[in-house]
Amino acid sequence: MSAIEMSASPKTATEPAILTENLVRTFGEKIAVDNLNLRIDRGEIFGFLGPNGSGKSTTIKMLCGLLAPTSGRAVVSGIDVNRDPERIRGKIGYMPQKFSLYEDLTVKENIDFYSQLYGVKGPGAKKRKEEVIELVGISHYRGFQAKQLSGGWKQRLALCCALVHNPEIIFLDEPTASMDPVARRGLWDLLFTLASNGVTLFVTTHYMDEAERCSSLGYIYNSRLIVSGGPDELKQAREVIAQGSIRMEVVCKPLVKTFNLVKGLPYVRDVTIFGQALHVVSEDLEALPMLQEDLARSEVEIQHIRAIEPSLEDVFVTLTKASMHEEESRAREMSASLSTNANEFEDEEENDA
Amino acid sequence: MLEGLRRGEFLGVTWPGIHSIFRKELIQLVRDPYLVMFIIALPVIQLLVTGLAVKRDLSHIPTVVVNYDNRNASFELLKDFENSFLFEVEPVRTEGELMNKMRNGNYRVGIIIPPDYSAKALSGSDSPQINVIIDGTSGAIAKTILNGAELIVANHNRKRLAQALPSTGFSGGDLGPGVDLKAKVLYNPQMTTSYFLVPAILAIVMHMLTILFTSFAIVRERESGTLEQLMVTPVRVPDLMLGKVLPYAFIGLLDMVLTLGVMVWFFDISISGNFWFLLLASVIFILCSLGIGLLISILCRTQVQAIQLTVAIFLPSLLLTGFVFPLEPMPWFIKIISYSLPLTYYLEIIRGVVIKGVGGAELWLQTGILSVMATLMLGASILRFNKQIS
Repeated sequence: MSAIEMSASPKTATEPAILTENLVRTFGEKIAVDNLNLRIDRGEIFGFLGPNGSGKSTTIKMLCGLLAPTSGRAVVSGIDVNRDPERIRGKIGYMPQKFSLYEDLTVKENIDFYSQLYGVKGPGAKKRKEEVIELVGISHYRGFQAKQLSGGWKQRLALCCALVHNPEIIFLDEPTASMDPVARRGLWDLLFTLASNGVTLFVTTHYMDEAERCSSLGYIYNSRLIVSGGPDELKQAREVIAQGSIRMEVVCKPLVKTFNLVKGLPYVRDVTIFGQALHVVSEDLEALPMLQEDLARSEVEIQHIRAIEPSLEDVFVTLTKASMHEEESRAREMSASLSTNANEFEDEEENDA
Repeated sequence: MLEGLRRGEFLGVTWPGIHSIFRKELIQLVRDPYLVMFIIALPVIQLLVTGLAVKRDLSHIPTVVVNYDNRNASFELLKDFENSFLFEVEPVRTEGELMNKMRNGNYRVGIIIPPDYSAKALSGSDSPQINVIIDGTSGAIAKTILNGAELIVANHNRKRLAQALPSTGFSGGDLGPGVDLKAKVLYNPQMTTSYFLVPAILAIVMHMLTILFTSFAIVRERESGTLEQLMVTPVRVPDLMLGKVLPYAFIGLLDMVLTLGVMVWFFDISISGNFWFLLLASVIFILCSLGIGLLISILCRTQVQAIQLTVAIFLPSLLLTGFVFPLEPMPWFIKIISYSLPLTYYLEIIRGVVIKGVGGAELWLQTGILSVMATLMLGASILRFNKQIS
């Protein structure tokens, strides 16, 4: 059996962990995922970003074989997901967005249950279970019922159950959504440990700081992949966005008053509040001294003003806005053509009368 | 208070509040075709069906007759039985044959006419006798049959008297006494209704309980999201289905033994037939009910839907399976529904074993049909359950 498997899917170094070709999923009229092309290499932490409802979960469900694609192809660990969804089950782990283990079972019982379902048995089973319990660090909670755990520990338990069969790829759908910052960092440390052991991780997230930690990224907006690639490609995108404009960080007090003041300046294109600072974008490359001067004249207390690189969030916000703009103009064109048609129709009616 | 009224508020409720909720509920209702169908079609269908079932009076009761006399006087009496439309008479040759047919439950009445019937009827001194044997399993039906038979015989006597009078010109005294009906009620001689109803109630309760057991099994997990996590594991669908059913099968068997105990020791109704056969048939029945529940659970997307569908099965099971209303007078298309419900067969089995004392030899068909139904339900669940969500 293994010989056939070897020849059918040779695991060369170049074979990607996940490959999608023109993957499409529709729900009735609605297109949830539109022509998705992804290539994720083994051992990577792939960050899949995008706002709510953009198609992230749908993509994960297709890659896990939970949802059949409408068209296109997805190959996970060398296996066509649509043709043979059962065969990939043992090779992947899946951690859904919502906690989906049994609340009324204890930590230990949940882990036992999933290890049995995955066919982890024999003398190695106990060792493997202890291994993942140690790795995740949930050892002292093993007698607790899942419903007694906090959000962070629940996620660790879910990860534990998704790991127990030693999968090659793990899909995590917004794993840190309900976590406090400490628990979030803890989980990410865990993900790095897994990645260093050669496990491929496919993670969706809202958080830009988490995105910065991924080895490659994809940004999906309105069902379409807008940008994807490694940090290098994203850096390039950053440079493109930076062209012809300057970004400045202003740390000041009081924040809102300054925000309103800066917004009114003629050379300022965009102002956003980032924590205790303002990010100001201008198309005038000489804006920095001008802004310094303008603010010095006002009664605002300035700590510092400096030029900064566009952040990953800036990249995505700009790309999203561009995409929205494009869509809006298309919609406007469509409604315009519709109304002309309607007018023609009315004219005809009048003629008939 | 007045101030409140002016703002449209009365006892804490406000008209705009009621209106907005009412509107929202109405919109939601109209947008859920499943619910609309459920709340409108279901009561209509069930009223129609059950109304038809109870509308007809008892008639054409299958009746077997042994006529040892075979002469004119007895034929006349039997003609009266047939003309009443209450009885559908079918002749057999021996008493043994008659008893056999009645044990199967297909015939509720047996009439035996002794060889000296015509002789006695013509003699004018002796009273001719007929024996009527009634299946007492259902007390109410048995009483109707007995009353009907007595009425027919009384009419027959009056008719004979009227025919005799003009020709003889004498008083009826020479004609001798009229036909004497000797009735014997089989299985439930007191015609006690509880004998008939208690085992049936047991069956109904077990049926509904076991359907409910599994009707949430899958849909609960679908709603809580745990099903999605299960579906990414290599678990096989038949394993999942049987793993869901079996724990409840054991609980169902335990419940069965407990309720049978209550029937025997509390209601004082002893099981006259083979207990082990009854238990075997009960296990098959429980598996069949669990299978129905499981299928409901797979077809429904929410627990609320599962409850609705379960209730939709309960009502016909309650009304069309011979639990309250006898099956005989129902029109054929209602009988199709009756005989596609497993409870119909199990009622025949439990009443047969408990009251009549019959066993596998007479009830193999019902038991076989229940086995086929159980297999179909579980099989359909396995085939219908898809590890992909749609």
